[in-house]
Amino acid sequence: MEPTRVLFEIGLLGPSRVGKTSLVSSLFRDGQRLLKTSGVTIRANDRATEVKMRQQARALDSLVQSRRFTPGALAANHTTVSFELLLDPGSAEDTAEETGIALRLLDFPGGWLDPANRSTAHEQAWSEVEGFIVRSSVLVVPVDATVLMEAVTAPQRGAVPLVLDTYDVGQVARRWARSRAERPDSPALVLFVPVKCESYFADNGGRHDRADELFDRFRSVYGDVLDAIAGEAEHTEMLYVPVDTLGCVERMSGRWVPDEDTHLRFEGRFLVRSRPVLSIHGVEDVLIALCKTLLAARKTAEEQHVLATAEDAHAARGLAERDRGLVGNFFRLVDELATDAYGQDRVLDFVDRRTSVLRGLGLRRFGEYTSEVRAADRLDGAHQRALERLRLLDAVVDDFSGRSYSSRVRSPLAARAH
Amino acid sequence: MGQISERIEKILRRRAERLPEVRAELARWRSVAADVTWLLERDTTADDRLPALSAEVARTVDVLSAAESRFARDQVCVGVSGRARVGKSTLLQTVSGLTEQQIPTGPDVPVTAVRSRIVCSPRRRAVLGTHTVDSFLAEVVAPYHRELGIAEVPATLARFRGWDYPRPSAEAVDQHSSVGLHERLRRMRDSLDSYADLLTGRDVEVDVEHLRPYVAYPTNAEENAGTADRRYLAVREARIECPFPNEEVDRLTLVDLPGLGELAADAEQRHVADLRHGIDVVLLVTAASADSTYFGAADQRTLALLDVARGDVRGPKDFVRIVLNTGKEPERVAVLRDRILADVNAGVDGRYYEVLEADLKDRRDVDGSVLLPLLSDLAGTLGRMDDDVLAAALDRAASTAEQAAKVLAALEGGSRDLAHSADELLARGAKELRERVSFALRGLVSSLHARARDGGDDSDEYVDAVTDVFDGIRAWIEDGFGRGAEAWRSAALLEVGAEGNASPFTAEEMSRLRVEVSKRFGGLDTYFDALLRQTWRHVADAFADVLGPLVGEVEGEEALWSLKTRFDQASCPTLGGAVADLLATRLEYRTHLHPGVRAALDGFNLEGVDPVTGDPVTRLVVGVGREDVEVLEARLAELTEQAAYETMLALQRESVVPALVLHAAVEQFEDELIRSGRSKVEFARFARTHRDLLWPEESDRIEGARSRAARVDRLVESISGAVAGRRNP
Repeated sequence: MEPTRVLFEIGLLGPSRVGKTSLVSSLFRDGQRLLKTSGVTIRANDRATEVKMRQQARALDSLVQSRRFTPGALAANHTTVSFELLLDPGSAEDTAEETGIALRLLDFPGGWLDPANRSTAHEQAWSEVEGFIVRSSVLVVPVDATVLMEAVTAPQRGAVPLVLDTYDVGQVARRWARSRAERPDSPALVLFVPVKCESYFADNGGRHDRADELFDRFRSVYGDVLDAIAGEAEHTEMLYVPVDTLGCVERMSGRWVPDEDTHLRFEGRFLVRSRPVLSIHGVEDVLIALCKTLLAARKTAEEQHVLATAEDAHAARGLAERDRGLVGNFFRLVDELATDAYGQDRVLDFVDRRTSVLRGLGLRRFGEYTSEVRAADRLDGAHQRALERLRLLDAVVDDFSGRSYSSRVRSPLAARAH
Repeated sequence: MGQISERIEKILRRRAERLPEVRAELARWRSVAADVTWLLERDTTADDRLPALSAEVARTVDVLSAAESRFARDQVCVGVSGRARVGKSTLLQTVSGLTEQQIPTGPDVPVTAVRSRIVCSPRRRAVLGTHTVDSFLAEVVAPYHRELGIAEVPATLARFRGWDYPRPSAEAVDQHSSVGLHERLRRMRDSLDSYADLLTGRDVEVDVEHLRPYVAYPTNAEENAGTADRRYLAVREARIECPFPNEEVDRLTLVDLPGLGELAADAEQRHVADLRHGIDVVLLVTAASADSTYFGAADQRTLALLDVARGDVRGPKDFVRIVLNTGKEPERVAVLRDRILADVNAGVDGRYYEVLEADLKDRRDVDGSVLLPLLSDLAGTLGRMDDDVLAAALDRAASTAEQAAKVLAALEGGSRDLAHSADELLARGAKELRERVSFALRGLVSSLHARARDGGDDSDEYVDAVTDVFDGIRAWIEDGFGRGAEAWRSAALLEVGAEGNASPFTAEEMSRLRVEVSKRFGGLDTYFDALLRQTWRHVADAFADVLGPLVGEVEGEEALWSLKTRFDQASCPTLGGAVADLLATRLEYRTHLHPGVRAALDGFNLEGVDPVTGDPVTRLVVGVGREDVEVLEARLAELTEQAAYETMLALQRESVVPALVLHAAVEQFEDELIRSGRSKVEFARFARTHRDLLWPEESDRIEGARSRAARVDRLVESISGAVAGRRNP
C-alpha cells in the first residue's frame, strides 16, 4: 500500500546570514502555536531538523532570559541542511504508513549563489540544491529588512544589492520561473519574506510604522528579481510577506563596516523590548499562502489516494464475487452456508488449520471465497479510516487557505493586493 | 612834459591797450605748444610732421613772447652796445647822471661785469637779481668748462671749491691759448667765499653808492693786489633806478649790453634773444682808437647779430643807431665817419643806419645829438615798429595755425580711431569679464548641483561628521551619560530611593539626555561653518583668475568682501548686493536640519502613546533597588543610543541639505550677478572703473588714446580760434 504522506518541497533562496534558518524556526515555532487546537501538529520530521529546531529554541530561550540579543550568534551553514516539517494529522494505528503533509525546505550556504565563491567541490551539491529549488512549486526568498532600511548614504545603498545578492537570487529565481512555466497547471508561488522587521512595523510592539518605506525599498532593490519571475512565468503568484522572526527585539543602532565582498556590511545592535516575550508575527500569513497553494496540490494527491483505496476495495469485492465456474461456484455455495452456520472467523480459522487436509481431500478451494470477501471488507475499512484522517488535514488546510492575509501582506507587483 | 615825451607816452599807452590781445594769443599758443609737446612725447609714429609742427609752434610762441614783452614795457628800452672802451659806460653815465661808482669805466681793462638796466625813476636804488647755486654752476661755470673741453661740470659748490684746474705745461702748446680761461676759473674758485652767500636766487637791494663791487670787475690794481672779492659773479642783472637829468626822458630805460662780437657763440645767442625781448632800440657805440679807425670786424659782426635781434621790425635803421663817439681820438673821427659811410651805408649817408655823433662825455652834446634825435625818431617809429612786431607775430600764428590744422586733421582721425577702439576695447573687456566670471561660476554651480543631486565628497564628509557626533554620544553614554558610570548609579540610587519611585527621576533624566543628544548634534555647526567658508573660498577662487588684481592676496570671505568693496566703488549696487547676499548665507544645524530630525527624538520620553491602541503607555518601569537602577541605566543607555542613532540616520538622510543650501546660495549669487537686468550695465561700469587694475597695459593705451584725442580736440579748437581771430581781426 502506498504512503498517504504528501511531500511539499519549498525552495529557500537567499544569501548567507539573511535569516533562512531563523525563518524556518519561526515557521516551526509559530506554526505549532497556530495549529494548537486543530488536531494537526507540526513537527520536525527528521533528526537534522529536530536538532536545528532545538538549537534555535535554546537560543531564543537564552535571549528571553538574558534580555541580550546578539544577531548572527549561530554560525552560518557551510553545507546543505534539509529541514522537514510535518503537518501531522496523527498516524493510523492499524498501519505503519506515514500521513500528513511534509514541508521540505533545503537550506544551503548562501555564498554558493555566487559562482565565484563556489568551489568545484561544491558544484555537485549546488547542482542538487538548484535542482531541488527548480522543482519546488513554492519559492521562499528571505530578505534582511535591516539591510534595506538602515542603508541611508549613497555608499550604503550601493552596497545593499551586493549584501542581499539580488543578482544571483534573480538568476536562480529566473530558472525556477522557467521551470514553473513548463508546468502551467501546477501551482507556482514566490514568497518574499522580509525578516527582522520588528523595528519597522507598529503592529507588534514597535513605535514607528515604516511599512510603506520598507515595501518601497524592497521593490526598488528587488525590482529585477520581480521582473525576471514575472517575465518567465506569468501565472506565478508573488507575495510580499514580512515576518517578525522574534517580535521582542528592535534595532538599537548599527554601523556599516567594510566588507571584502560587498564593500560595506551592516552590523546591527539590537535591544530587547521591555516585555521580553517572543512575539513572532507574519508566520500565519506564510502558512496561509502555503495552504492556499497546498489546497489544490494536496487535494489532487489525496483524492487520487482515496480513489485508489476505493478501487482496491472494489477490485477485491469483484474478485470475490466473480463467476468461479461449476466447481468454484459449488465451493462458494459451501462457503456461504458454512459462514452462515459458523461465522466467517471460525470458517477461515478452520481452513487455515486444515489446509493440507483439505488439499488432500480435494477440497482445496474450500474457504477461498470467504477469504476474498474478508480482504474486500478490510480494504473498505482502511479506506474509511484514511478518509477520516484526511478530513482533519482538510479542515486545517481549508481553514488556513480560507483566512485573510494580514495587512502586512502585499503583492509586490501591485500597490496593495490583499 | 615835452612834446616828445607826450608822443612817446601815447605810444606806450597804445601798447598797454594792445597787451591783453597779445597775451591772450600768447596764452593760446603756449597751450598749443604744451599740447603739441605732449603729443610729440607720446608719438610713436615715424611721421615727421609733428616734430616740424612742434618747432614751428615753438617759434610762434617765441615771437608772441617777444611781442608780449614789448607791449608789456611801460618804458622805452634803449640798449647800449659796442666794443669795449668805445664809451658805452660813458654814454650811460652821461644820460643817467650816475657816476663811476655805479657805472665804472676804465681806460684799459674791461670793467662792466654785469648787465645793468638803468631805469629813469624818481627813486634812487639798485636791485640785484642773483644766481642760485645751480644757475651759477650752469650759466657761469659750465660755459668755461665747455670752452676748456672739461666734460664734467661741478654739481655742487663744494665740488667746485675742490676742483683742480691745472696750469698747462710749457710743452702743451695747444693749451696755451686757454691759459686765461684757466686763470679766470681758478680766481672764481679761489674767491668763492666772497659770493657764495649771495647765491640765493633772490633780489638784493643795495645802496646805489656801493654798487660797484656787484657790477664791475676788480680794477687792475685790485687784481694785482690779489683781491678775493668777486661778488659780481653772484649777480645776474642789476637794475638801477634813479632820476635822469633830462626831463624829456622820464620813460627811458638804458640797458648796458656786453660787447657783442666778443662773446662765446652760445652767449651771443642768449643775448640776441634777450635783445629781442627786452630792447626797443639799440645804440651801437663806436669810436676811433689810437690804433684803429676802422668800423672793424667786431662792429660788423655786432651789426649782423643786431639784425637778427631786430626780429620782425622791418627797418634795420629803426632798430639800430650807430653812435660815433667824437670825444675819443677827435683827430681820427673823420676817418672813422668815412669808413662807416663806406662800409656800413654803402656811400650814402643814412642808407641803412643813421649815424649819430657826439662827444659822449658832454651831456649837452649827448642830449642834443643823440638822445633827443633818438627820442624824436622813436616817437615816429616806435608805433610803427610795434605794428610790425604785432602783425608779424599774428601772421606767424595764423600761418602756424594753418599748418597745424593740416597736421592735426590727420592726427585727429588717428586719435579718434584710437579713442573709438579704446571704447570698443573697454566694452569688449567688460563683456569678456562678465562671460569669464559667468563661466567660472557656472562650473562651480554645476559642481554644487551635482553634489546636491548625487552626494559626493561633501556628502561623505557630512556623513562622517554626523557619525562622529554619534560616536561621541555613545562614548558619553558609556561614561555614565557624562557623569561617570558609578557616579551616575550612585546619584540615581539616591534620588530614586529618596522618591521611593523611579519614574520622576527617569522622566527628568530622559529629558536631560534628550536635550544633551540634540545639543551634541548642534556641534555640527562647526562643520557647517567650515563648509560655508569653503564654498566662499571656491567662489572667490572662481573670481581669482578673472578679477585677481582687484582682490589681491586675500582669500575666501575676505576676498569676497574686497570684491564687494570694488563693486561699491564702481557704483554697482546689484553686483555688490549679490556678494553681500552670498556672504549673508547661513548654514546652521538649528535652522536647516533640526526641524527635520527633531521627530527622531520625539519618542524619547518616559510616557508615550501606543501606536495601535492610542492608549498612553509608560516606556520604562523599574523598581528602586540597586539592581533596578542598573537595569534603568542599561535601558536608558539602550534607548539613548537608539534615539541618537535615529537622529543620526535622520541627519544622514538629509545629507543633501547642506549641498542644497550651498547650491541654492551660489546659484542665486550667479543669477543676481550674471542674469539680473542690471548685470551688463554694471559690469561695464565695473570694468571702466577698475580698468587700470584689470588691464594695466591696455588701460595705458586706452588712457593714452583718450588723452591724445582730447589734446587733439583742444588743439583743433585753439588753432581754429587762432585762424578765425586772424581772419576776422
